[in-house]
Amino acid sequence: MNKDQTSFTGRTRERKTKRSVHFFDLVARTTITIGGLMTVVAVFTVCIFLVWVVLPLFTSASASAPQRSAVALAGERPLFIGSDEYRRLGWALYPDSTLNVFRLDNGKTIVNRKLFESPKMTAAVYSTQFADAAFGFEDGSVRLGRISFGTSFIESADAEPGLRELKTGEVVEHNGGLVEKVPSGQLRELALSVKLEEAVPAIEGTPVARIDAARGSNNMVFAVLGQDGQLVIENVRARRNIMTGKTTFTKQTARLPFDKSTHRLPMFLRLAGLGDNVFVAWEDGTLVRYDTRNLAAPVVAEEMDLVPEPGGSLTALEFLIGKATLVSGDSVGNVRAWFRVKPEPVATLDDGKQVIATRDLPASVASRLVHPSAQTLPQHLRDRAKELAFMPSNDGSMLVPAHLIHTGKAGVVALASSARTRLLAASYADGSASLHQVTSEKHLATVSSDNAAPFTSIAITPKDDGLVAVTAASAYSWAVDVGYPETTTLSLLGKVWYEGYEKPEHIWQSVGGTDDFEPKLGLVPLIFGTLKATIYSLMFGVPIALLAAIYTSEFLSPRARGQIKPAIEMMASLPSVVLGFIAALVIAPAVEGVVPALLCALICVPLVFLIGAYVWQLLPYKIALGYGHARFPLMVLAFPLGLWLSYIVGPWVEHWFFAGNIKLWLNWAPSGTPADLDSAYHSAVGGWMLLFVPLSAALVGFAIMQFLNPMIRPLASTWDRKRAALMDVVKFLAAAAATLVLALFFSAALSAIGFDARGSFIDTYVQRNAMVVGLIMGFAIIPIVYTISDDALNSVPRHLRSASLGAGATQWQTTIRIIVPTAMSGLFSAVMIGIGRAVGETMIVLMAAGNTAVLEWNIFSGFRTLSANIAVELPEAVKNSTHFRTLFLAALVLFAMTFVLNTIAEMVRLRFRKRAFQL
Amino acid sequence: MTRMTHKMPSKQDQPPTGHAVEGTASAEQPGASPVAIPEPVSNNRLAAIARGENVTSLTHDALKKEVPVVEVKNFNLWYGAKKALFDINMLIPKGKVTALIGPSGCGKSTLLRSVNRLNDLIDNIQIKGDMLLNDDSIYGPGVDVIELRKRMGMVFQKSNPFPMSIFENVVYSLRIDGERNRRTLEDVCERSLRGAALWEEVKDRLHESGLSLSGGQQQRLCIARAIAAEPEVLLMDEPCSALDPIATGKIEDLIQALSGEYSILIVTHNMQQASRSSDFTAFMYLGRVIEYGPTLDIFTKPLCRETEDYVTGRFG
Ligand SMILES: Nc1ncnc2c1ncn2[C@@H]1O[C@H](COP(=O)(O)OP(=O)(O)OP(=O)(O)O)[C@@H](O)[C@H]1O
Ligand SMILES: [Mg+2]
Repeated sequence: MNKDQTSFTGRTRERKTKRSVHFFDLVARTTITIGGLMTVVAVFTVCIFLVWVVLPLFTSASASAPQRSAVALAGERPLFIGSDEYRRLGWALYPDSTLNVFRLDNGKTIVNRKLFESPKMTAAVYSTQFADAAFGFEDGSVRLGRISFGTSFIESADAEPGLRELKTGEVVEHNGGLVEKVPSGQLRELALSVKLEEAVPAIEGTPVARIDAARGSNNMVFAVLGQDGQLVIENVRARRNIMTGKTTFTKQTARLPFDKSTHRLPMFLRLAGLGDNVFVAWEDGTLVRYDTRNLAAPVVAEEMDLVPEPGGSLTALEFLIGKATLVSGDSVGNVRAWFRVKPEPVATLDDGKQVIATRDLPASVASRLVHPSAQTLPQHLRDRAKELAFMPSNDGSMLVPAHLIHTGKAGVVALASSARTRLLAASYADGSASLHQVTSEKHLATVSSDNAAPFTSIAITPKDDGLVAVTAASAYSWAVDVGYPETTTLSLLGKVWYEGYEKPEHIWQSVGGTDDFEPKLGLVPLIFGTLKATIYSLMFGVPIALLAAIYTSEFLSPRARGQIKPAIEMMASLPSVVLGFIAALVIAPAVEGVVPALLCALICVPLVFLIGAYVWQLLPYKIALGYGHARFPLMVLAFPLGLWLSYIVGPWVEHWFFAGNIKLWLNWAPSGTPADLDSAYHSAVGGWMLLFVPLSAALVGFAIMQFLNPMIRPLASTWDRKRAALMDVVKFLAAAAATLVLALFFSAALSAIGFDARGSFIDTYVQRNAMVVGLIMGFAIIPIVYTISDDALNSVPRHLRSASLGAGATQWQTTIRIIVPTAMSGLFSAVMIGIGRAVGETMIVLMAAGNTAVLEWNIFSGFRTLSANIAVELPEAVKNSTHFRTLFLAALVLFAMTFVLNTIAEMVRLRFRKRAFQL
Repeated sequence: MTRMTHKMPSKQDQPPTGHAVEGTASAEQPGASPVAIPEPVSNNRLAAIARGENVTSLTHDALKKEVPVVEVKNFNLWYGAKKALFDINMLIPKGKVTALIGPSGCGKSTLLRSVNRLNDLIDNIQIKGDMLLNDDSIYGPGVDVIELRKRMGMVFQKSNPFPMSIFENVVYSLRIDGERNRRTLEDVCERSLRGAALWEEVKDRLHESGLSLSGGQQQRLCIARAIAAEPEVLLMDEPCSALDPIATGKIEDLIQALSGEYSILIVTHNMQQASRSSDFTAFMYLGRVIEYGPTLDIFTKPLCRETEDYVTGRFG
């Protein structure tokens, strides 16, 4: 009975699945589903968050409906207008020195007084950036001043009785100012203050007609034009005696060459920010620029036309913040921004003027800039007149119309620049006004008056949050949300012409030392840096990783492989910060001293390796077979041997190819003088060798395989092993020699026709460079690429290997013809994952790449990657500023790059895998 | 009553069988001295093997008249410490089909793979003895394995076309020899495919992937690949085990057609196949060749009882 109940195995299997099994099944399934969903959600959340932070960069600015109010002194055009930072009060200074302070909400005048009775004010200038004013008088004297709003807060309790009862938000006039109860409960008192300094005589016997002033750190520079045509520039330097506390002034005056007999009195006199340039401009658009860097000998630097359009006249000329960029407005409705650039001079004319050229100008601008005297240029330069714009200049600089900010039908009436950014407001004859960002040329807002009456004066409010303008009859004010005016898609990804640069360029330079710094937020150098880092590290890491994987999986015994694979994988556990640290502090300085040796190593190590292989073949078969297990250690030995060889050869190579000093050789740039052409550094052979040795090796290898081997094979089949091996050695040595000769030939040929690799993939050496990063980051990606490739190669079915070997293929033929093609999908995804790793790598590049956002392929220069840039700058970026959001955009770009890479990798992998499935 | 109890008695009336032997067979170490076995043969040979003693194989006299293409001489093979082949002595006759039969795990594949030294790839392998291929040593020092393998072709149990076109699959051995002449390649391809009775089926799709063929076609493709190399001997390891009867029939016909021109050594589990398509048959058991002779004799009047048991299906 008992026997009947027991089954074959002695137990009765329960056929019903247990509850607990069902339960755990369910738990596992839900957990996995939730986990998967969470991952997707997390990735999407990150993406959405990034987009959410970035999106405001691309929204446009908006302006509110105007607050309009009547204004006193109707009819007259004010010299300047302004407002306080809360946009409560406006002020206007009229030519008769009347200062009018009015409420922006109802236009009511609060203060109306004349600043100067006698002597009469004849010229004035006001700088919004510093709230500085300078006044010129009929007696030739000048006075400095400051027109600014003062704000003070009073506790309600301490206030005068009449003010205590104010409700929050209520505004009353008080003592020539406004008092407002702010939400915190305090009373804010706002009043315009005018501070004037003592008058100083500037020019003798003639009224001041035009004036401008520039403030330095401890000096003040004036440019003053007298009614009689005297043009002087004065540099007043204040020196405070620390002991006595007394301040002494030293004054340096220079008279600029100006001939009134040939010119009418100019409309505009402008003094650049450092007092180093004086611009004088006439109504017809003519501008003369004086170079006043040396006050003892000021010179006319250049003369040009700001309004090239026929019949146009210059109607407004203002500086942007920093007083280096001049913005001109003309009667034909163009607003242009001009600044000085300093291109390489291309020739010196007979009259001693240097002809300089600037490249990449829009054709329309370039053709206008070809100065008549350029006709005397040498022929070869004249031939290039179409691509270059030539200007003769005395100081090597030229003023270029870098930005065309606005074109319209109505002439420009007034211009105003912002006190804190590179915003510019312009008003036009048709009663409209517009707000622009000069660098990005982004149009932010357009406003207009009610009755098409033109705004005679316009101002941007101190916090860049509004516009104030007056027509002949009314004052207007608008609240404007400018958004993020520095960025447009074009300015982020395209070339932008930044102040002082010879031509539009891709630049990332987000923070500068000064208030008037122009942020340069071009993402291209960062994307480029990321690609550069990736490419150079892949060039180093991927071949090594792939070859190592092929070697361990196909040639090494499984036991040795079992030991080596974990060792390589261990490399991955090195934190990248440690690698970066080693790269920056150990490798970079060490490499700097042995650059030629290192370059030689790229050739020597494989060479030693191959020679070793051929010598091994020369060994009698018995020994070769008997010591087969010693092959791997010997191979490893080839590495230090190759390094040692390159260390020996390095100095020779440096001597012969790099004029004895590779760094000087790299740095050297031909200037065209005969002495330079004869110089040892002139030869470009060494640089080309770097490129042509590998290329020639490939060429020679191909030629041997294609032509020589088929010829030799019939012969070789009759030879014995030893003879064949000897033949191989001879063939190899001949091939190596042929490679060198071929490379030398190509290099010398290129060098002879004047091509130089310097400036492309090799150039000036800096300590932390792409080569160092390539080495270390290559090292960092080796483990992952190796592991995945090795697994991929190993997953190729054994039977394919056996089939190929059984057919008489060698290991190597099997590997190349069968294993690698079959494992292609795995190898491909290994490389892609390596790329992904390199693209996102932060610490190594942060520490070893020098973080200079330069846009050059030079392997010896540094770069800045997206990831390193985010790591460096994000902690210091002001939250929600343009910079901050642009950094998030950089993160988004990085995200997109890795996403695209991984997607491609996955797609290709799946395609390949479909094929592999059939095996 | 379960099936278990039903089976027990039938097992008991057999001499000590396979499962009792497994453990002791591996005990023998390299260099163990051969033990003479008394003739005439009796049914205690298996017991002797089980005890770890060596037994000489019975080779029929008919083989002595044949010209050998492969000669196996005192061949021993160890996988690590486990001995898989014991003192094998065999002559594979030229231009004939020789079948290897025997229960699973007896070392047929090992012996076959030893002929073209594919076992070299396995770690920890030890070999004693030698083989001769047309009087050239296979295991001697100074033998170039690659050249050796070029003289043989191998067809595996599982069809293993390369993941490339049918054409490239067939001419693979020419490719690795560096043959570039298009005409030669096409010629060889056609002839080999005809030889493998596949030409008519694939002549219009030579450039499609070899993997797009059916299992039987793939196997014939592998045979075509093997004969394209013009081997001195063709080694086949259960070439039909994964095929349906029709495909098997085709391959058997093919083997018949090839014999005479090629020398074939084939491993099979299929007694009919062995009896139908081979000229000679060797019965292997636990790493030894028990009996080796003309197929007809092995199947109709074997000298050994074990052989008879096996070929009649009464064996373990
Ligand atoms: N790579 C290996 N490593 C260790 N032992 C092996 C290896 N290959 C085969 N063996 C062992 O050697 C013995 C013979 O194996 P072999 O594959 O030659 O058997 P076979 O006769 O071909 O069997 P089947 O008919 O099932 O294919 C078996 O016991 C097997 O376990
Ligand atoms: Mg087998």
